[in-house]
Amino acid sequence: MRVNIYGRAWKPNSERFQGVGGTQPMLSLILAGALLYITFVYLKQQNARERRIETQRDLPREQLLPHHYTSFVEVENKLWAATAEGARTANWDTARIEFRNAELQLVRKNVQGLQEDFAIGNRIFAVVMGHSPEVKMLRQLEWQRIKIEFPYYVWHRLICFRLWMGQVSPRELRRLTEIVATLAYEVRSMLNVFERGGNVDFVDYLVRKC
Amino acid sequence: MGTALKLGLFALVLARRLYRRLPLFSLYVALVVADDFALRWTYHHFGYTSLAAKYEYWSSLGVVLVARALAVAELCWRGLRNSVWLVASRVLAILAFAILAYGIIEAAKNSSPAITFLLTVERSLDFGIAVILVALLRLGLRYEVWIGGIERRVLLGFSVFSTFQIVNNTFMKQWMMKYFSWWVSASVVSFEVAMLIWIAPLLRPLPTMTPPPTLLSEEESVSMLKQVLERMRKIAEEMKRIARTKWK
Repeated sequence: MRVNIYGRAWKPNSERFQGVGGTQPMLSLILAGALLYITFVYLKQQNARERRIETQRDLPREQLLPHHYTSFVEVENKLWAATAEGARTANWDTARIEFRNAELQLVRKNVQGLQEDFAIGNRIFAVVMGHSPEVKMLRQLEWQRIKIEFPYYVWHRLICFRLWMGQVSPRELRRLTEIVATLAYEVRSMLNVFERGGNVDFVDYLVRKC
Repeated sequence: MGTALKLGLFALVLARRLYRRLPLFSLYVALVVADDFALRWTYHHFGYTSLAAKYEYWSSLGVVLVARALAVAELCWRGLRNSVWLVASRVLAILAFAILAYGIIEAAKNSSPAITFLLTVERSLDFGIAVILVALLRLGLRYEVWIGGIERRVLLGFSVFSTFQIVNNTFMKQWMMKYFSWWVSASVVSFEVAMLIWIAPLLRPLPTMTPPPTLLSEEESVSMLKQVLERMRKIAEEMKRIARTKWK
């Protein structure tokens, strides 16, 4: 055992000593909590990645890219059909409609699909950014990413809140779909650039091994 | 128990040839073991309260502290790549400078500058390592950085040790004198927990380390990413134009 308390018990020294942890206990505790939490989240992400790579090995490539967002028209049609005729107004887009459980479930499933699309797109984007050899380029790519990420989280939270209230706004749902579609388009065009440059292995790595 | 764990860890580091994969972490483990034996030898030959024991303890503490800082820096270097590392290395350098400056300022105010310097640096380092690990993990999450199993355990061990040290320093500071032995014991136990975390993956042979394939050369990635950025800007412009006409 490291019984190395020599010198620490020297009273004058210990009394006058003020460490970071001592002067700002709250900050230290927050930091300690943040460290434990983020370690747990990171290790969970790493394990999830290993499991994902295993399960998606034989899946067709299309399924490994964002694809749920394309079903928005179908969802909107179903919502339109489920809306009482009196409620179908000219401002359908801006309306906040209260639906039955079945339609709410449909919207929830759609939002979940969008969430999956976003996770896939964001992951590919992140790995590409990690390969950036210049800080300036990383900054520019990061800015492009934030421009998509920020509105996505805002609209996603808002839609989830509305769903919790039992309401759906087609306009908000469309906005979220557009954001995810933009990300999907950017990711696909990114992969096209790499493929055209003859980097098929890199594209395969991005799609299957990240 | 602590010495046995240290010896076990060191033996496993050698047996599994971890020094090839994480040389600075291996050096840290070696120094911890050497420090333990040097202290025991000094206490045995010169006595616990001798001047030799005092110098030995404080000088070895400094060496082990530097080794710990380097082991964490090695983890950061292995985890983050390319430009992410360029950004992170600057932050690390600033943080290291701040820790040293803080230690020197505190030491200058005290009657025993060398000891105060080491104590301040030790506490600042615990705090700094926690900040660095939070930043490393956050960047890891942000850029989907993947690290190997053993590196993950080393990271977890440092996280547990640093968290415990910070909490310990925060709570025990006021009662440090009164419950001094508890303070030291808690610190020792947290290090033993960290060692157990490091030992567990080394009990089995490590998977052979294959260097990650070079998927894109530097020149290639620069030209590709420039094209990607250009496309993205075009897409963003197009989306803005559509939004302007549609959401009016």
